[in-house]
Amino acid sequence: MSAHKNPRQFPANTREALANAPLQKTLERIKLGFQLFRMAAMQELPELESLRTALAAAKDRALAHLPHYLEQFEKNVIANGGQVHWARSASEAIAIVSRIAREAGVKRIVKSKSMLTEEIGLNAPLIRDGFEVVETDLGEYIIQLRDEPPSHIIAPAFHLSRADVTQSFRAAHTHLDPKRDIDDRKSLVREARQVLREKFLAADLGITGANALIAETGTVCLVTNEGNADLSMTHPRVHVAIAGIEKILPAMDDLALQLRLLGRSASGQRMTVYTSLRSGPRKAGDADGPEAFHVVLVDNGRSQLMRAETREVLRCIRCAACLNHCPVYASVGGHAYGVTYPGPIGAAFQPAISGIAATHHLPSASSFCGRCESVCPAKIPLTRIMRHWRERGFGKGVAETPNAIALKLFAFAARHPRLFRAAMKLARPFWHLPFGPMAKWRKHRNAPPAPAGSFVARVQQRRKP
Amino acid sequence: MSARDDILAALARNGASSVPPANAVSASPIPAIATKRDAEAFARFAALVKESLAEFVEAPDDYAAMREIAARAPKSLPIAISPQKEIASLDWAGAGIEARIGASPDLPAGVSMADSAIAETGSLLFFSGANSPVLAHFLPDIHFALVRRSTILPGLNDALALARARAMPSTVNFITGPSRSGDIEQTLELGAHGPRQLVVIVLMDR
Ligand code: SF4
Repeated sequence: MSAHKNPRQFPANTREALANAPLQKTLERIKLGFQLFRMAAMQELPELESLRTALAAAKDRALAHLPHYLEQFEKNVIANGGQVHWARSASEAIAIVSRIAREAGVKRIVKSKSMLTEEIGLNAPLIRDGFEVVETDLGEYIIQLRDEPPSHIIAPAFHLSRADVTQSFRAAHTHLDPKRDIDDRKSLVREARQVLREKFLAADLGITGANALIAETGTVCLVTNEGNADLSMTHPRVHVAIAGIEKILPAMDDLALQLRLLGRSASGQRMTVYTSLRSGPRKAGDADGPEAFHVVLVDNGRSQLMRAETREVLRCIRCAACLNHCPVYASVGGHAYGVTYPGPIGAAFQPAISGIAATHHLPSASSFCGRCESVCPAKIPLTRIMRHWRERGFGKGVAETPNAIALKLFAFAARHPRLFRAAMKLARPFWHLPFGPMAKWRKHRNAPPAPAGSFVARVQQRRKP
Repeated sequence: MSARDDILAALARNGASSVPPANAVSASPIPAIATKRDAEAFARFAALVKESLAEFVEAPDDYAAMREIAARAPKSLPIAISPQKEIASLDWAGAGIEARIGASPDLPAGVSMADSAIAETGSLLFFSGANSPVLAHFLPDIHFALVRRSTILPGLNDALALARARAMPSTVNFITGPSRSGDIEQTLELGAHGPRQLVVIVLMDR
């Protein structure tokens, strides 16, 4: 069973996920973990609502003037001694990183967790170009060994058990004693630390993502709990930070705001263990730090999302609260979506990157309960944006599902009252038949008993004097 | 057209502006937890350091701090001391510690001095510099972090303003507890890549 799924096969993927007993057990942890932690962390923040409103406003301001802030950011990075590169697409971004590595004479690359590099598929081409590329976030490292995509945007190995990890480490770390005991979590973490420490110390290039880009100072902000971003961006002689253009914040006070909400929304932490700001390469006289610092600014569909109908999705700070509170994600996990960003944020964001034809199932994979937007720290109207993509899907005729056909039939009938009434009469006996199309539809839904007499008949009845 | 021009043009086509907003300052509300001062700030900092799974120690002076370190560090091994003047110049030998100045990947224990601390989050704040290697806070297994009580700031905005006032050092680190990972079965394990143990020693200057 491959973890790499196709979003076009979403309904089949979900059936497979629902029948996967170990996965279902793992998914139970969402409620007891992420949801409770978040709730507890918000207790000491009675100002939560005004902070969410302020973050939405700060991001909106950044987006409304994005060309200005991007240019300001670029100017300041250069003033700090760094370099800025611009990539329209995934392939341009990959080519830029590969060129930087080649020109710097790099052999070994360590990477800190970055969803953007998953989105553009950075690792495989770099390895093809002859570089060693090692993921250093523990979860990312595990799934790299297993050749799987992440299943959660902040907990990439969420779907795996300890036994899976033990097995992967035994298969990969053949230089270690095959009889060693690595059945418990502590020894697994210790072994990963030891193996990866050597990789950090040997690497020439560290690649990180970016949690925020601060325009007024030309600063890249990174947060981790493990410290892997810090080792990646400090020890190797070159640091490349790769970031979506929407990561811009105008000022440091906006960063304070984002940090207050990011950790709490994500994992219920006031502050992730390590929050680090990189403003340029090492200065003359600095004790350590990279000799060269590059920022790669990536568009890859984002400028198209700037249109009014979808702009708010670019406020996203990738906290994963929407996934953690989504009943669909909690039922099927991340892999079933078959895209980089699962859950509500994926349904709102991924169509812009992968096209609506490939992803039209995702905005439909929602009960529209709205929990995602009630917890989103940036107040993104996720359901409205999902509806937008649904409409686009129908409009483009890509969603020729039974639902779409049924809706078209309904629309036709609704415009022809006589036909409608006749159809209703005919349909009534079929409503509760244990076979046929209605039975299929009722399999996962409650159908209330059909009332005696149609709606129209009842209205007419009541009007009678 | 270059990629840069293309991206900027696409943004402009979709309604984004290339001039700054008329009023440049955003009014960001400061929550009550980020406004504590003096004794209140210290109490919050102490509580949050402990919550972050770090050890919290008060030391009346440098010598007390060195004794606390000697009591906890692995015996018979040198300790890596960050070359920051304030701590590199202390009489480590007098406290029975073999000091090795500089960050070291080979020594299990290391000491560095924080530039400031934050009551709002229980974080330590470190600025990189000529005598302040970033790796001093990440390489050791046991990290002893000294911080002066008088440098504790109320909140994140104050800390970021301080970094700006220092002309943005090339690296600024906020550290809140020892390194950890929840990546295996969503269960916390300490010491993923950075220190497994963090000992925060507050020098009680007034
Ligand atoms: S959409 Fe909102 S809740 Fe979801 S990841 Fe982005 S910021 Fe977090």
